[in-house]
Amino acid sequence: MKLVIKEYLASLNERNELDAILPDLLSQLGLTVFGKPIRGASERGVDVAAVGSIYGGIEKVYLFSIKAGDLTRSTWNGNEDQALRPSLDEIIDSYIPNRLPPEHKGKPIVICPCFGGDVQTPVIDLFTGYMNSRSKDNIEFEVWHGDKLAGLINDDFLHENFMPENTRSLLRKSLAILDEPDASFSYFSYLLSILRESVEEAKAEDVLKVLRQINICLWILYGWSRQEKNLESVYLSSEISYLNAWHIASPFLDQKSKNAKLIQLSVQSIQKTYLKVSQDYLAKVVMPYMNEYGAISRGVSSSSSVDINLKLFDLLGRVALMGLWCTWELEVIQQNDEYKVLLAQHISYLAECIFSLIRNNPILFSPLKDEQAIDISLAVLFLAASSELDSIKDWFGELLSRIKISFKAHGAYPCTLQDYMELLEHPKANTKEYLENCTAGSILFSSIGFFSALFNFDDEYKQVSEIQTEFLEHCSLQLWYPDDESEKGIYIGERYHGLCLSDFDFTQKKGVIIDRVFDECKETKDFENLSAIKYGVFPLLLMSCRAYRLPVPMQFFENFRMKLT
Amino acid sequence: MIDQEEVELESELIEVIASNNIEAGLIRLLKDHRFQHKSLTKNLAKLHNSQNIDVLDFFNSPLISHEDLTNCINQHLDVIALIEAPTKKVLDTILLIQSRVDYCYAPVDKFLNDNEKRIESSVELLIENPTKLLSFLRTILRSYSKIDVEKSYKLANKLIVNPDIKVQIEAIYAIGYLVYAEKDTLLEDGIHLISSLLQNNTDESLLTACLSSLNEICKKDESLRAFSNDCLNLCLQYKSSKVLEEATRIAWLDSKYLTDSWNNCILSYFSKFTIVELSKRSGADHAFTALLKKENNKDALSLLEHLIASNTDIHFTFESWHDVSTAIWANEVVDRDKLITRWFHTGNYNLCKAASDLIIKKGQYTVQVSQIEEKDNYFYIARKAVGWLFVKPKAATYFVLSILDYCEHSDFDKISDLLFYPLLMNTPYSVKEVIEKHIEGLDKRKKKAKFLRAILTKSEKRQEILKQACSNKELHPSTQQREALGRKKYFENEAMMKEVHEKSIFSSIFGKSKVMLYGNKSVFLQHGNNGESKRQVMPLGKTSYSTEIPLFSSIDSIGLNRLINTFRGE
Repeated sequence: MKLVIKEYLASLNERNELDAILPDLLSQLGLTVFGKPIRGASERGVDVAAVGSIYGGIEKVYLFSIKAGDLTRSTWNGNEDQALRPSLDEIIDSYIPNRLPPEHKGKPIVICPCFGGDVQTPVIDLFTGYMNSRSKDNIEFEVWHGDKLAGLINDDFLHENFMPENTRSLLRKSLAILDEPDASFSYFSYLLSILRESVEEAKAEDVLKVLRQINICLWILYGWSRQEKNLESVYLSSEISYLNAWHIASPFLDQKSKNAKLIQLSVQSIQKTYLKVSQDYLAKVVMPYMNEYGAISRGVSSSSSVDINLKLFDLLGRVALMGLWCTWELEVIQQNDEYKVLLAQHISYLAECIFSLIRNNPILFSPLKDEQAIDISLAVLFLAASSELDSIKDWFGELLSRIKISFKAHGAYPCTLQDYMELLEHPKANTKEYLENCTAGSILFSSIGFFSALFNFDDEYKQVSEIQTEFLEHCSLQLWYPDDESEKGIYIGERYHGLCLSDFDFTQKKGVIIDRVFDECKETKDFENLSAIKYGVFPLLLMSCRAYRLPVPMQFFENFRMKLT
Repeated sequence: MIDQEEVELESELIEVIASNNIEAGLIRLLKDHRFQHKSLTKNLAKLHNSQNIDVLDFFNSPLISHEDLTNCINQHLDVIALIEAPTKKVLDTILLIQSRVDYCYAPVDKFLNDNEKRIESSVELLIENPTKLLSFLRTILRSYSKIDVEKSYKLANKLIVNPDIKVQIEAIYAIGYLVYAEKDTLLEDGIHLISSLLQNNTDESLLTACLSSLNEICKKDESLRAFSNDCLNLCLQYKSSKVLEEATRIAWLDSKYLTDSWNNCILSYFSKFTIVELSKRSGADHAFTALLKKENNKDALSLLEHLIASNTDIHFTFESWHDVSTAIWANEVVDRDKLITRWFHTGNYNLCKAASDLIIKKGQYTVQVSQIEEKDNYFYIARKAVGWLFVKPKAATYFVLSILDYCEHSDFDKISDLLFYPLLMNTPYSVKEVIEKHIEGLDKRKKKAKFLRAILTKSEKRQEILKQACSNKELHPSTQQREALGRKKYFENEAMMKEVHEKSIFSSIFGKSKVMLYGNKSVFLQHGNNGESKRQVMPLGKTSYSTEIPLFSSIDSIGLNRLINTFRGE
């Protein structure tokens, strides 16, 4: 296991990736972290500062200067901005005399050069000589390289005694089979479920420990995934890691105790990990190819349009979700104007990304599974928030036209089938019975119909009505609303909760449909009580819908009614 | 020198005749020596004529089964031409065989030959009971005409008014088949006779017989063709499948005899039918080929185009007219490229389909556009070609490339864009191959070469991006999904192979198949006639067929279909 961790640490290629786990590791060792990294900057050479005693020794101040990978000539004292020696000089010359908090002056100081890899041979003498020459009575040096970090992580975070049975082997299996993302993800999600169950109704410190374990496991998975150049498993795992973390942490979110605050910080840390993984994923898989016609579809490397269809709608949901996270960040985070401008640009870019994805991958005009309404709803929510209603209208127009053709020609019309083999063979028969079985219920047409009504897409609304009349008279068009039982299970993948509002009739006027949907929103007040909504992290709920394939609640669209009327 | 095998055969025959069970013995002998057909026939005739055996009694024997009669005896009826036997017995024997088998050919004409006695005897029998000897009526009258054409003609006339309509019809046929002297006045009488028969008579068998006889008469005296137009028109006044059959036969086999007026009458008759109705007559294809091969084939070509253009049956394919399509393809009847260009240019759905059927089924792609007067329409033709030839991208590419030589410069961009989308984007390797080969033959400094190189460069850049996208493992389906897809394709292929085997001619020839589990060569023993066997080793042959499937068939099948149908339908 230690080798696995060391491999992961060596793969970290950004300084601030090591920053993400070190504070948690130090806290776990019993130290108090009083100085944490600010985005992109160190404080006079110090990236992390902590105080305390490790393994029962005397209390010391630990000042960490973090570098990524191995210590080489250039990273020791080269031209790089973040070379180590200048940072260490800064610590000695500037931080210790001027920045050390008064309560810690007089304590022994340990300067800790910290890097994920090893000290390379050409640098050993220089490095050792430097440390020897600069050591004083109250200043000593302690190197925290990859091997030491791996040992500490293995012994403190992931020790057999601290982790439930089988979780270490599950992590190993998850890492070993990264090339089979589905299998890797299933091992990781099992690991998470064991960790989660181990802290049901547990104390805050146990919860904190488990959250840190989740974060470090996720980071290990992420490091290995990057080496294997396959981020699929870690993307899925990061989603459910965050969701499980939220579920575990939710009893402590409104508490003020020290451990409760640390729990909240841990959840934020996992959130950052998820956002980073998501961003990396999209930057690798989607963005370089979105402007080339058919490139991403071709990239699926399958002769079956079913594979292409499933993957493209999945990507659509992921991009939309990223856009919604950025939108949330813009609304809630108090950042400087420059950052807000960048964020706004990024949101526009993501909206453009969705248009390009749809424009250049026409399979996104032909949903195959009814549950792809979830990805469509996420995209609509994001695009509507970005005021891109015309584009949604154009998309719906072509989409409905193609669905109609599919029904008429007994092509691959949207269905409720879930089994892959059944989807490959769909439609298996041209009979009415088969059609009725496959389209017994639908959230797709109800969602599209509702959106068309809400945004005044008259032609599209009419098309939904025609499709319902001509082909789907038997079909129960429905929408889903969370209820009081949803909070218990919505973040951990339980599917059977909530209310179903059904039997929508799109031959009625648009206003009738809108009223019906939003009247039910008013009736189901439990939406506001969901912790993600209560604590203002609405994208988390949407992420849960995407990950666990639950319909997007229509409460999210209430604002648009107010805006449009 | 007498062949040793013949001697052995003769002695075997004698042995069989001497045995108790002649029928079984002869049947066995006929089967065993089926490759010595001529010798058997000769020997049987010899033995019959030397009264060692009565061949007719053998043929008449009720002990011979239906199967043996059909598969064995039927093959040896030409012995009748060589034997000495009473005419009545010969004719009765043949009639009996005819009643027992589905098809029987006996050379009665060779039996009668120039033998006056036999001919007169057969004539008497015919007069006595023409219905009974219906199947020999024509042959007997023809043979009779060798002796006395006038009497034969008169007899035919008499039989034309026989109460049995079948006798009438056979007699009408016979009128055409008599052996007339050159410029015999009976020929003209024959035409008048046929004309009179056609007045107020709509029976299609009778009309067919009249047409046949009329043609045969005119073949004997070409000067009568011009005289026979009215009569011909009377034959062809009603739409009838039987008359059509005869008309196609005449146009096919006797086209060299037909005058322009006869051509026009026959073409005019063909125009009463749809192309699907014509297709049901196997001779129509050959008939049109023959007519198209004539020097003045404009009307035939025009009719063919009209028939195709006005067809409403979606199942019809031009390829079903194998002879015509082969002749067109081989440039035997018309300038192929010009014809195809014209068909695409009309925009008529059926003609375009016929043009594409021609190119696609022939499997070659070197069809070029021909120059047209309306230079603005080259883009239209290019889109048509792309739409119709999309399934043969090399052919579509070659055609579009040829258009670039004739089109206006203002259309150059949009026509060459068709090479990129949809051709290169869907089937990059096939299309690239054709373009590269084409560039080789161009002057590199010219605009066309530069354009084509630019298109190839654009395509290569795109392919590079696609390749990079394909390297993203995150996009790939899981192993389980790939396995499921593989299983599905395996079962589909198995079902296809089974269906193909059931319909295959080859598999029916080779009978039972065997499955080899290991190895790539098969060892078997080949047995010779003399009982020896020789070891043979047959290596298994490998056949394969590869085709580039359009990329968009999985990425955007609806959009692709829409594009192709737009090109086809506009």
